Amino acid sequence: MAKPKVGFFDFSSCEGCQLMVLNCEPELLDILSHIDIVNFREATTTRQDDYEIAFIEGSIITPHDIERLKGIREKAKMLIALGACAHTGGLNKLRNFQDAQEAKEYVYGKDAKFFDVLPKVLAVHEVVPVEFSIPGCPINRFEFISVLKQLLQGTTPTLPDYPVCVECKLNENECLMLKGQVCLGPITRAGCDARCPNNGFPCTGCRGMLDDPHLEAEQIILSKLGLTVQDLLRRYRLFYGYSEVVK
Amino acid sequence: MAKKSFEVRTNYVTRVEGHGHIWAEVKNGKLENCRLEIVESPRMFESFVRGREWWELPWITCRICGICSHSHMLTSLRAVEDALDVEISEQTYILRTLVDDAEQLESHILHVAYLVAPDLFNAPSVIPLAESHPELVKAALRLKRMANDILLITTGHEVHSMRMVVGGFTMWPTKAELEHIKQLVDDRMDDVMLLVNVVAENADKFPAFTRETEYISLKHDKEFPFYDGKTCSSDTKKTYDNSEYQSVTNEYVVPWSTCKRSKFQRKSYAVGALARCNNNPELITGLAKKVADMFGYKAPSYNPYFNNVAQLIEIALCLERTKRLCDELLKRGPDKEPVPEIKVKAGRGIGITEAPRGILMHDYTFDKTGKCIEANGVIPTNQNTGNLEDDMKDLVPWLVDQGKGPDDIQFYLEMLMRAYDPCISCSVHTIFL
Repeated sequence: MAKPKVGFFDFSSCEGCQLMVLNCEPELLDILSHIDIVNFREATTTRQDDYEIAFIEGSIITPHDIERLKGIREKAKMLIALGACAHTGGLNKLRNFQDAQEAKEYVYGKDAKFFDVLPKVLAVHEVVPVEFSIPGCPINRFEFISVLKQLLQGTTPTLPDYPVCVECKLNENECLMLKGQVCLGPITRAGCDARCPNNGFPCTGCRGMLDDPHLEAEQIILSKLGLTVQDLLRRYRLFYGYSEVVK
Repeated sequence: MAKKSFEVRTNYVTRVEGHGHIWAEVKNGKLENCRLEIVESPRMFESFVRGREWWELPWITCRICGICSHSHMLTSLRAVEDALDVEISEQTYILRTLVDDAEQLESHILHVAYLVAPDLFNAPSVIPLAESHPELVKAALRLKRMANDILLITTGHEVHSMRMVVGGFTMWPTKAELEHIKQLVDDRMDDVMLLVNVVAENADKFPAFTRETEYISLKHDKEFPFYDGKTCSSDTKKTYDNSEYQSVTNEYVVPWSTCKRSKFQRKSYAVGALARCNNNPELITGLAKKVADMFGYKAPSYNPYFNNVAQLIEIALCLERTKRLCDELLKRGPDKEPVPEIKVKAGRGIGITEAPRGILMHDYTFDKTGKCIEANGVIPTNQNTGNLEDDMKDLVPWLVDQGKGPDDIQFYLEMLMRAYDPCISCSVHTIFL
């Protein structure tokens, strides 16, 4: 059986999720024995346009991005958003809380006119239909491998529908909120193995909110830590910029 | 011989980080046009960090670039600590130096083995090399895993650290973990020599092209500078305080340009591994000196393709230093120092370190509540763009004089761009043409 052809495509991002794919060093040769990478600009000069699975990294920021993404969608049987920037818009959406023109002028001064950017940063699914999204900033490489395996076997991957706290408890971490730290673990989708709290840093929500988060409970706890509504919004906007909650 | 006319164009040069095109036009044997076009979409970090809190700046700005995430974070930490007058402990300084070395290792190994090596064997990528040169590819995979494991142990993750915070670390590696890092390095010495030897055996594939230019990097009197040092110019032989950085980088835009550029003593300057080696030759010792000798490297080298050789020298240097830094930490325990309490105040801070691709500056101003009100970043790739284009303008006639045709010229231009290891998604100042 011919190996399925896979392409990796980068839009506006730090390219750290592609790097996490390359960081699967022990598994990389094994992965390559099951798929044929036909398009991965960061890693290879080979470029073909007959791919079945397209992994999309990054947010959609310019009108040209939209055209390019639509072209990829037409060719791919399956389109997978890879990482927070593609999945939700990630922290690129911080710019959506500023005036696009003012932001451009702040960074580029009189040269701002050279830039043709969309008024709002978009996630991939806001432009074209997406079969599946792998969350995280950056992705968890083990989750990437697991999703790829399921796609190759023809099954539908799913994401955990429980909060980061579940994984954090299983890892027997001391709760950072009990230590007075602002942690978004209770309302953020698990699947990262609680890697930030494992390392003594509170969850900032990079995997996006749960489908049905207990927002009121989180707000009560955080207000007890002395956070105002403005403080709370600022925290949420870091990675939940896509959500109605922060608007 | 008839004077040739042709055009060379590569859109979206591959095996570089980010999006760029190269273009050269030769008419009757003379170079008419030559350009490097950068087409990365602007993300505008400098704008959207305004209003964010002091402790978030490293967490956000490390996400400018996945490949040099740790360098952005270290630079950002230095800038915030400078603004808030935070003193770090000796142990934090040592562990950050260790993290920075692992960052250089990871990035340089990725670059030399995955992105440059295919050019030496006329392969499109490292993937076919897995069949033709399996030992090289397996060694490269193991070496990259080693660097990633060091980052995992010291910072919590390969890309985007959790443990590095303003003032110190949220968690410290254990004695056993530090011993493990030393063992990892020992276990990989054969692999690193295999990589060095393969490149050395193919060193004739690097064109013997030279062009004298100015090199800007950090300089330090004791330790090869990645995390610490003072900005230095190879032309003036002087060092500059952090507060003077803008008088060195002199960012400017030319009307037809694609990208903000820098100039100091000449119309362009180079940053990166070759700049660091050229400016700190007395600190290339031990295994690094051995590697330098294998390639006949003597500072200063004006061959831009030798940036790859300089990366190999730095790989050797980082490996040896990593073991020494582990010993330094083991001597201290390491003590589980808590993160100090930070007193917020208004002020401006500048952080400068060496990212794998060259000198990197972050500059923030905070209000009295600790919210960022101004931010600026000067990125290695921006500083290199002018120099790379000036190299291209000299390289094309040099190749034409040797009777090379468009295919060869295209190959060597792409290889030159790769030699610089450009990191275009980093270059937050980029401008569309």
